Amino acid sequence: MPEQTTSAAAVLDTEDLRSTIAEILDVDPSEVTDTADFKEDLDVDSLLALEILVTLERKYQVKMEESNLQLMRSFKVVHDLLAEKLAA
Amino acid sequence: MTVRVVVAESVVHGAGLVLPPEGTGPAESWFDHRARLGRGYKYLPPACQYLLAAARTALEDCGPEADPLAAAPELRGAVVGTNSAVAALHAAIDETVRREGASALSPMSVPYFAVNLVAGRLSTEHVLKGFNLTVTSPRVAGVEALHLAALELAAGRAAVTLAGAAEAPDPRAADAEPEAGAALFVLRPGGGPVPAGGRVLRTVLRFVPPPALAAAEGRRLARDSVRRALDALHSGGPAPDEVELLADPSPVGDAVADALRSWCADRAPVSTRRSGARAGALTPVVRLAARPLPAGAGRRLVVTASRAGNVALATAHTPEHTD
Repeated sequence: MPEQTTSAAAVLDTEDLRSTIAEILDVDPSEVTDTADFKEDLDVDSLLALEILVTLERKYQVKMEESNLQLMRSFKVVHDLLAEKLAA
Repeated sequence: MTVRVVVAESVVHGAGLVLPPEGTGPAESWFDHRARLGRGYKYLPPACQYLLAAARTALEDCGPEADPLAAAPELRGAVVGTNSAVAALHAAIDETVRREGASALSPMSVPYFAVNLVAGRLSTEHVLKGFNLTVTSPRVAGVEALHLAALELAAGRAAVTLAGAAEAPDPRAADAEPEAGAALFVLRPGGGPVPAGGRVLRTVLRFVPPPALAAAEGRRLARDSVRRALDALHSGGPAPDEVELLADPSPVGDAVADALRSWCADRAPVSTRRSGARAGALTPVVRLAARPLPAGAGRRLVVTASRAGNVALATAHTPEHTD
């Protein structure tokens, strides 16, 4: 429904999410580009990916399945996944 | 029965101290892990960050010609003493579980609930495969680490060992002086050459059973035990020029203070520093690392004791002729 999409977009500030992920990864936000590969470009291993997942769950009060870990390969994917969760 | 006094000796080839600037409060931020260590250290407990920074300094202190990491990984060890390295993490974990449940715990930080991972990370960082020990005896753990390292070196289980103490403030320190920082030595076997800027460490550990101090005979035995340790520590060498006692306000601390002052009466004045029972293990190691040592191969004696009965005695001196 359009109302829900609008509401989710308001909650999910893209640059705030980028800063949050940059903080988790201990890198500058400019390094977290939309398409930078978490594993190849930002040295994210499985434990750090789990840290991203837990932090986002706490911050945005959503439940993300561990199967989502496999999908979380870039900022854009995480953003879209989270937006989807918030809109649900 | 007289218990044999074991004196352990090692040679310091490098030292690293990471300490907050004078006057820094326990809640104040003073260490930039990113600037000191680089990326990849954010989730380590602060005491572990301090320890890794101290290790880098200690290894650099050895100079390029005497790279300790040239020894085979299987002949490189680590011994670290601490009382409160992960106490704040334990408190944070308790709080998170109580408020939000275990699923909210930080996956990157939670493994460090095991205190031995602090030294474990040191070994991983520098590929120390000989042995890795963590000791946590109250107050004396840092000197205990130096003692155990020297024994391992003497037994040939390592050619070089990184040993010392790391602490971060205990959130439930009560009347204890909060400690933060790390002090780490690069040690090689006793009897070997002492490099310029190096020093010789000698250590003895004792145990004074607290209940025994209720009786006069127990107090006499405790006094004798400390005196024998002091005699052994200074066997064949001069009396100390500087004497420092670091103890908690306890019957054990009092007994050790009495024995030490009695033994030192015609030798050297005793400087005493008391802190609460939950005090860290860092300060005694810092005092052994502090420069300058007494001139002319003079010795600094550091004695530390806790209410649990642990007593550690150590001297540091620089021989007049070093290689």
